Amino acid sequence: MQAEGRPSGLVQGTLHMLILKTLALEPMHGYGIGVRLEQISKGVFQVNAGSLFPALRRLERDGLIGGAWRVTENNRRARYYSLTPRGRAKLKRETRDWEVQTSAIARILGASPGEV
Amino acid sequence: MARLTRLIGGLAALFRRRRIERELDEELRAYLDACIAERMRAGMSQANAVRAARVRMGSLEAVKDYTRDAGWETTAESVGLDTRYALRTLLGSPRFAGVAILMLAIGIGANVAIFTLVDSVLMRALPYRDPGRLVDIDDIYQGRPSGVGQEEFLDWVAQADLFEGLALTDFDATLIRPPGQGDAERIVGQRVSDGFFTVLGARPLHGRAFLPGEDLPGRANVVVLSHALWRRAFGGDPKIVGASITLGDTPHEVVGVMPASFFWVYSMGAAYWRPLGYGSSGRSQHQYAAVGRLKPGVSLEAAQTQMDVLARRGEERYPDAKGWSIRVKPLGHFARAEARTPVLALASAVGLVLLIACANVATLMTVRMVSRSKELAMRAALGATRGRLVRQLLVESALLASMGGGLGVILAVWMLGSVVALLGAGLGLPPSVSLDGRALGFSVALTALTTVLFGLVPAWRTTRLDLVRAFKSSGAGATIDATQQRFLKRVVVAEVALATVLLIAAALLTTSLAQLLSRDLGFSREQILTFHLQPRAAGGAAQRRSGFFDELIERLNVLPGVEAAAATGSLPMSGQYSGSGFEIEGRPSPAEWRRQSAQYCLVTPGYFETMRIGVLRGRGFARGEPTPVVAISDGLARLHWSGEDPVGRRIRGRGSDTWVTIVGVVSDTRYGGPTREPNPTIYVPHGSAAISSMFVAVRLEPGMDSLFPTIRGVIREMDSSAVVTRVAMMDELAVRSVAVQRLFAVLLAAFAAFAVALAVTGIYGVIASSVQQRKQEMGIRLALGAEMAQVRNMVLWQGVRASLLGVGIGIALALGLTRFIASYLFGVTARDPLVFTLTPLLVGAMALVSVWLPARRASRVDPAVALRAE
Repeated sequence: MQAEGRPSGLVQGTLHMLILKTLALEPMHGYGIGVRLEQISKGVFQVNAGSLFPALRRLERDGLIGGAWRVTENNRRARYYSLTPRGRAKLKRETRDWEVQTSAIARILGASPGEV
Repeated sequence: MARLTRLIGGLAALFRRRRIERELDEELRAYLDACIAERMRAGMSQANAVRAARVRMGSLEAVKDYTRDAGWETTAESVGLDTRYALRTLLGSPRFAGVAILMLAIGIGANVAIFTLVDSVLMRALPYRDPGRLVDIDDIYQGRPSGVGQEEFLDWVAQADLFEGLALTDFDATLIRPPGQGDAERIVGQRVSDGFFTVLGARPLHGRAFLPGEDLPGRANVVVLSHALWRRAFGGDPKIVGASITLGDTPHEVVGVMPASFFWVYSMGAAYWRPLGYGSSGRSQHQYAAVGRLKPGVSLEAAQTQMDVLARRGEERYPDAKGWSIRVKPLGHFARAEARTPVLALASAVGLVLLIACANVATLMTVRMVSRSKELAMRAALGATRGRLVRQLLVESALLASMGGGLGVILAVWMLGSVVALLGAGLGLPPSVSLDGRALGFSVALTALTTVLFGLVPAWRTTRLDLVRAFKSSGAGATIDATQQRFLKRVVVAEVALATVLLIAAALLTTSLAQLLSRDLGFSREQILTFHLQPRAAGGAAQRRSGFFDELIERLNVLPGVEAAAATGSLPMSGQYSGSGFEIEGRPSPAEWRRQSAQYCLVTPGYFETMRIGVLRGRGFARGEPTPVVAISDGLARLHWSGEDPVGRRIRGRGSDTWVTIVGVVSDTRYGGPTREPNPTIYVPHGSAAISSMFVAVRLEPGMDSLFPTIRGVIREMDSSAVVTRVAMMDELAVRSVAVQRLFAVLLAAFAAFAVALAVTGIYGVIASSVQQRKQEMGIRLALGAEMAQVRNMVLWQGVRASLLGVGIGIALALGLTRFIASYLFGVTARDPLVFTLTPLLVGAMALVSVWLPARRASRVDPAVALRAE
């Protein structure tokens, strides 16, 4: 009951990174972030509210993103999140780590028997 | 950094909870709206779009919950709730809470008090700059530390270049007449060489330390006061620096006042320091204590090697220095070695007491939690996880422990106060022992530890719930199952074992104390009034001084109520001691005077009669002995004239040219008090040597205890400015001389009594709860024809078995442990059979009584009531 809708540890860490990445382009509100993630990943990541909002709350707590109330395109109030300088630095670091890791994993997975 | 932001964010959230909730609401609504709007844009009807968005979103409350949980503050909040709930439950059962808190308070309080002692006596660094470089330097003769000589010290100062500085100290005592207070007071201090404070790196609070060369003879009289004396006698007035005060008969200029934290390890209670003023004591006089500060980087071994060279050089140059060596060791707390055993033993004892208290509270908790099993089951059924239940129960334990800890600290302050007051300087405590931050930290740690000790196990066990069973059992159905009953019994066995160990240790120490107090001192201590007297007429001729005391004794002797009176240069247990070497006529003298030396005791003729020291051979002293004579103690006679009669032989003081005849042998006295062995002593009749002040011993007739004012009057008549100090009854002195042993025994006995009381209530509680639980079974047994006695014995046996097991384990433990206090035992061995028999019997008997009550109740169960209860 509890596990439903809650991301696992691995996905949670990844989710944080993905949110930061999304916000690197422009400030966005919660719903926008979810939609954007779905679009970019071509529907691979479906982020529901139960994971998105805790993630946003944590990122904000850690000072990686900041939130501000603004008016949306269709004239409603919504909380727009944007990257803080710390968040930007963190994203840069994480992206680099991620690339190093994934390329390493890719090399291992792609290695032919002779190479190992 | 991230942790800090999280902390601040959490705190902010706690304070702005409402706003944050509102914002979360609004944000989620915006999310939902956007969701709906998008679906409507895609062509859904509004109703469908709303439904689809709701499905997508899931439970709004769940989302909120997850989001709230993202920070730590919600956990804190629920702990807050738990605390409030726990407080309510505890208030609901004040008897349980009161008993538990009191047990923990005594346990924690005793531990904090003893911790403070351990900390300040055994662990705290000495109050000197860079104490690691300070060393104690002592002369060793025949394997024993024997004190340093003046000339020797000056040689070191000139030749030992591995030291940054060296200092010499000596015991000193004087009289002071604080302004505005009538009677002179005797104070103990130190005579020190000029570099003393510099070597230690201790700065005065006011004024200055001694100047170089100020310790040479013939300089102006100056003195540095201790903080305590400054406050007590001069009201803490900083203007005292530069003023003149009178010590003894001589005016001294006060040049400095030391801070309260300063003490000198070899004389904790020193009230003042004055320059040494080297006399001409000769090379053979070894009586000083030396301290040195090593140059940076110099090892102890290097310093030792250098001092070895100096010792050999001394041996070559001076015949007196033959056989002497020098030892360098790190400067330690003088009291550390002495106080180590009692303090550590007390620390272990209070540790055990706390363990027992925890065990007892744990059994109480278990019984209590079992009766709450339905409540716990209900919470579990409503979705509380086991971790959540354990947390709630632990919060309850923590609350109990904190209250116990708080009360314990108050108790600790009180206990520490009485310990320090009782001990005086006996244990060599630094003057400023008090509860400080470290002790408070310790008590907090202890509180946390006790929470875990008594809370975790019961919480863990009782939350292993079988929901179905918990709900099925009806009515009074709170029952302790077999495993819990076994657990409780084990706890009780452990409690009894620990209590037995403590009680055995306490019994050994108490027996030893009783032995000490009744030990034959070689004189009769009852009804003897003693005081120290310094006539102002002093300074006149030796004859005149001797005349003063002779006249005084004569006048006291005829006073109604006085049986006998005498004066002496050194009274037993006065701490005054003067030893010296002697030569025996017709025998070669050993090169080293210590090999043939004795304590010298100057006495007026009636001394042996007054003190009731038996004359074994020959005679005592008569008034106005025509020729110089002495009497010797039995121990000295055995040492040098074994098998011969020393009466009639002649001896003389080392370096003296007059032979004196031994006229009598008297029985040995324990000069240092009950804990010491008798010193070989030479008694010299007063008159043949001059002395400016003496102790007076007056044997009073029974019932004449209040004669002192009359005696005081007689003295005033003879010399209106005579100084009388240290007025005490001899038996009081004897009791005071075993203060450390007494405190040790009293404290341990108190802790042991508390431990036994805890253990006995523990047994009672466990057996009573088991009887309660088996009521029905008892009822059936009785209904089926069991005798009341049978049922009673069954329960009785249950408790007795647990107690016997505990007592047995306790005896085994004690057999292994009591040897650690063996050095504090007098007249009783660490495995004294009597103590090891009677003490366990006592514990067993008390356990039996505590089992008897529930057992009797069990046998009185009315079968009809018991059977109907279910």
